[in-house]
Amino acid sequence: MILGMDPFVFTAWLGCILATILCVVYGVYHEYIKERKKKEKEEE
Amino acid sequence: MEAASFIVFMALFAAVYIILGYIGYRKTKTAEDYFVAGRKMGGLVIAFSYGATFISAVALIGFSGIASIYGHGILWLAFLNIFVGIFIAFVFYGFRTRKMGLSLNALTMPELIGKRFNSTRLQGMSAGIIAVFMVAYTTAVFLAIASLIGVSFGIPYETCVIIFTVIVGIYLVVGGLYAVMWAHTLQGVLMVVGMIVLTVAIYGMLGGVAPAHEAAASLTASDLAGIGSPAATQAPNGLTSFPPFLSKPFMMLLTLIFGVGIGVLAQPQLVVRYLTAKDERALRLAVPYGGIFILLMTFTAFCIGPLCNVFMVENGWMFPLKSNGAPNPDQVLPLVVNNLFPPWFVFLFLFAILAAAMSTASALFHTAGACVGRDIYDKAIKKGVSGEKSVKVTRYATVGIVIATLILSLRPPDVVAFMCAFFFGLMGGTFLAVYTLTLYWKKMSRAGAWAGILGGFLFTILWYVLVYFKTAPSIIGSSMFSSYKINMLDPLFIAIPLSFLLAYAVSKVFKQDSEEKRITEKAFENIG
Repeated sequence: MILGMDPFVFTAWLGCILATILCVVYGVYHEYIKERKKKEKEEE
Repeated sequence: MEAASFIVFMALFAAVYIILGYIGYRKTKTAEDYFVAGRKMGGLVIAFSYGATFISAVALIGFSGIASIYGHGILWLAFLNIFVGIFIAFVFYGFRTRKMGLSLNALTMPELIGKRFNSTRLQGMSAGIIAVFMVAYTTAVFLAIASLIGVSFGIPYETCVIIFTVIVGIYLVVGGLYAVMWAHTLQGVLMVVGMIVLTVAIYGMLGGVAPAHEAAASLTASDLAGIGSPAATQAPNGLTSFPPFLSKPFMMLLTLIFGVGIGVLAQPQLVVRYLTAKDERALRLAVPYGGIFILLMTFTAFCIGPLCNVFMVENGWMFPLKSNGAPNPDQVLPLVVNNLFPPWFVFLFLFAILAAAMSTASALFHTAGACVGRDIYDKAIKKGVSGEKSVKVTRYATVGIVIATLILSLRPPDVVAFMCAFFFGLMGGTFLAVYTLTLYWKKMSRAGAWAGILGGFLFTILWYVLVYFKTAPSIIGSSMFSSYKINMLDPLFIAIPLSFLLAYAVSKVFKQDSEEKRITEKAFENIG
């Protein structure tokens, strides 16, 4: 048992959190990192 | 809870919606304004509108009740809701849908398919399927919420139905999608606050995440049988473990997880949200907001569902029953909330559930109205009218659909329950393959689109009528297949591959004509 759940259920529990993190990272990457790289390229 | 306080808050709620409806009316000048909010929406509003449309009262109280029976295994559905329903949906469908919608000037999902294949008949038929089943789905949403509010506040069921339908109908018909999406943002905030407070409080009462789950895991079959919970037999490995492979509870979870988790990609009321984005940045921003929103909705609801059993066993509360004596999972979460929380939170919770129901219903009304007014009357029958007339006709159509829903909700025939059960799977089975190929395969022809849609639709309907364990026994007496491994299988498992195959094979045999080729080039002009 992990956090009171069997491993298969825990994977789903963790998967929910990781999928949300993926969504956030996707948004942050495109909003800030990719935009900054784009600006740097344009300045060069 | 007193009916008077409910009426005061409901009046405030209604006043805010009617103001939003008026502002939406002032902003609505063109068909584009009415159908896709002028394509001017930002990431936060899109995310909340998409999430509030996706997550209905059924998802919150219904699925948390189901989780109280089948246990935490249903968290796989929450995972698919976030990963497929948000990430895959926006990243792999959202951008292309918006680009193609702009290139073809499409304002609805049937219009996108119809224009891509140069067929107003295909558009009309797709819209007809959506509109008919959507009315039943909306009726079911109203039935659930009117029953809950009626029980909680002692207000007659008919009064509840009339109040909800009139409020939603007014702000939707007057304010168009602007009013709907702004209202969704407001409703979304209420839902988020309600679910955060509920989840933190329930885990807090049980001592934290691990102790709460351990308390649920320690409940034995006899504990659960003692309160009359179906979990005694439906969660044979315990509430925090997945059921044995291919057992009946396993098949039940499988059909729920994939039926809803994959079917979400082709829901017309969600697809139209992509078309409202003001730019690509808005869609990109909707991904993180949407992911967090769905996490706070389904993940929390599915986590606390099984934990309700701990409170019920500790306090000796019996599992709620319907009037016919069957278990009523819809009342599990309200039972726990009513007994454990202070009156102010019970109020907040009920309004959060009400917000979830109203947001889904308004989106369904809008989509069904657009199907009848724009896709069927304007495009398929009249072959194109002015934008102003299109909006006018759609407003009349929406009023008609609101009235039809009201009549059905007041005297719901049995068929409504079946059509609602069909809805999510039917939309997925009918449209997912063709919608995907529309966006990704330049060589798909009109004949292929017809074959994919009709094949998926007919197979799904036949499966529900003849085979599916929930619907077939009530329609034809018993399922054609006695093995539960077959009759509990969601039709999507077969309908989607079949629809893909038909669309591909027929497109290979009946190729695009020169006009279709020209339109395909135009459709993909902004897609790399």
